[in-house]
Amino acid sequence: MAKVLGIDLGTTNSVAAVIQGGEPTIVENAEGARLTPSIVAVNPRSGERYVGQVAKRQAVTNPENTLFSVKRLMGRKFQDQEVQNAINKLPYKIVSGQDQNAHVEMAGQSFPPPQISSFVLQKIKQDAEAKLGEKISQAVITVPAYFNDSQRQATKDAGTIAGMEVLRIINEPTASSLAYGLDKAKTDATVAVFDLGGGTFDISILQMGDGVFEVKSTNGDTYLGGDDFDQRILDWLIQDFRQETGIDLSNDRMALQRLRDAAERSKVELSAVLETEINLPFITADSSGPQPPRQKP
Amino acid sequence: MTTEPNNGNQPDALPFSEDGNDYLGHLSVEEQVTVLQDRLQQSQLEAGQNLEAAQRAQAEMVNFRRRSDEERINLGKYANERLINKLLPVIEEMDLALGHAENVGANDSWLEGVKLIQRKLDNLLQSEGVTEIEALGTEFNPMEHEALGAVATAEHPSGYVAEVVRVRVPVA
Repeated sequence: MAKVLGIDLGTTNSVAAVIQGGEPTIVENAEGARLTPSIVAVNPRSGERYVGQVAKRQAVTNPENTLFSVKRLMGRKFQDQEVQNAINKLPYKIVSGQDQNAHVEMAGQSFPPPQISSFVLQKIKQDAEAKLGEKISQAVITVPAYFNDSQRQATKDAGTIAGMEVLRIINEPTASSLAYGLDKAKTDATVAVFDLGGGTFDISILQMGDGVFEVKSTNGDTYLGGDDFDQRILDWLIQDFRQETGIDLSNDRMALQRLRDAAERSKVELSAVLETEINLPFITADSSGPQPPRQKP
Repeated sequence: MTTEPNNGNQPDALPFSEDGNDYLGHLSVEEQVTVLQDRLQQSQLEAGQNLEAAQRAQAEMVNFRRRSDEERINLGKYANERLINKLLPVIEEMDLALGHAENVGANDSWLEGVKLIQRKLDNLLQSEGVTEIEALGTEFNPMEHEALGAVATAEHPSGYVAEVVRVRVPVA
């Protein structure tokens, strides 16, 4: 029996997993990473299409043709408040399609969001096939519990365009509960699932009984995620360093990049430990000598 | 185990279980045939399911063995990758430290000695296949480069690398 790919199609990053020996196992992408950025771009000069990490690497030089956070637009009408909010925050063009749905523009061409997501799913599928050494033709894709029918259908369409039969669309909090084996718990329970993603933060209350999950309520902040944590740590480091030394690191490209990497690394470390240290010797130098910041967030 | 008397119209006792639940002696021959056919069908169905499960497990085992072999090969091939990735920022900081030492006029012979150590480290990395990607003045290629921003310059055409901010950056 062929493998079914379980896909978390995220706003910022996507992940794929398969069942191996009865356990869900993350499938690494072609770059050897567990996360694939949900980003698609086109080189306006060559017309070459980039997906994932490669698209992310060129984003700042090609913002009009680099599509990210497309999940925010999936299955939504152009007039929806969420779409209007996104127009103000996203650097690429969002237009109204013939179906009145929000479409996105890349290299002068208009695309429905499911098609953009299908490019991400296609890469995930191809990378998984290469990794597992077998063809993948079926998938289960997760969506936020608050997605309506139209958004779920749009997600399913994305999977179909990517060449997969979408067996099921599962609520994200349900999928994470299943991953923690809560369906096997003997007693009925009410569970709160927090989902802190790269750009969104959701909370869902699930009621479990006889292995069946019911979403009782869901809420969250659609513009708060791990990226904001990185930025906060970065801002704190810059501010603290300025206070201590009088030097503004925000104008120093190299220092800024090293601080950004260190901020993200410390955030990741703090998921597992209570304390971490940011130690960046020779971050900058003035006439009095090197200025190393050493902080404990 | 229970037995019932044979009244002569029915065949000899049919199979029944130890606890007697499967006893069919009280049924007519036709009914017994129907029940047995149902049981046969059920057994055939279960046998089919078991065969499928066994084949699936076998296929999974073959795939698992193949993946394990691949992982073992890759482990040998890329064993140093993680370590080198972690070392790169440290080496970058050493470059910065040496650059700074030159600016502040550190002792020449001491500086020369440390530079020799740095060269040794570079050679070691080269022998492990780690080489610097030439970027300055080349066309920007997201497969190899990461863009941190765009600057206007007369020195390079648009879409070319105008400045290299960091070289020794971990790849993943």
